[in-house]
Amino acid sequence: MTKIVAVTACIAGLAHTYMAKANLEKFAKQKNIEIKVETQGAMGIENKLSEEDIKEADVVIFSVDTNVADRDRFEHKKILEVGTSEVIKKGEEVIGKAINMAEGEK
Amino acid sequence: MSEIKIKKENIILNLEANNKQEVILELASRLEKNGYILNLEEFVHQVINREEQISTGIGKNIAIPHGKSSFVKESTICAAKLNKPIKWSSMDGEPVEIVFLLAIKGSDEGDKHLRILADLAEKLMDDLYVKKIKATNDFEQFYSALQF
Repeated sequence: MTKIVAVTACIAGLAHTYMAKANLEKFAKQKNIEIKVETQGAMGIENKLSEEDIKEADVVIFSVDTNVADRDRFEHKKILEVGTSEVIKKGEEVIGKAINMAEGEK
Repeated sequence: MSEIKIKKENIILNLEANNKQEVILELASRLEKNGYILNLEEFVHQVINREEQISTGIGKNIAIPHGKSSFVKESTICAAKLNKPIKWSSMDGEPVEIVFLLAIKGSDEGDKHLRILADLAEKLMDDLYVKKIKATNDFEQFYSALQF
């Protein structure tokens, strides 16, 4: 089964970070895909991805308008990088794209 | 519903406004009247500046203008339904009819209020929640639909 991990972060860290998280989870669930989303917002890093989460993931989504903290963790992973707006607006498409990337690898 | 997240005194139904500046001013005035904002003019100025950087029209006819400011006395949310949709440079290009103004205290490092705002942001991705708050024009129903 395809596994996705994601990081969301926006400039103010107040709203878009969490909307992007909710939308990724919503559409992953619809497609029956396992996803874990780390938020890097005003409350700091929450739901932090473990080394194992990242290792097991087929693809990584960065839904960010700013830098990803600890980006080194994702070296050698397949990364789909989009803005938070794109995920809020077209969450389904972004998840679809990530699934295609993951399946392309197998 | 464990706790009231959006208070009755901070809810406005059938708000009449012609543009986003007017909406922000009306909502901020309500918060000032209820004692959440110390300096109305400065707070409104900050929210509008923020809005000019990136529009907070998140689609689905909803906007969430916000300001983190030392002019906020106590962090809170003000919610309004407009009597007619207005333009808001939204992500989906659609006009806005429901507005949440988020006022965040500048020194609010305690996470409680930030958590409520984050929860609201997540909730707005829930189509059922959005459908419920859009469906009613009755104050009591709107108030209870708004809680999350």
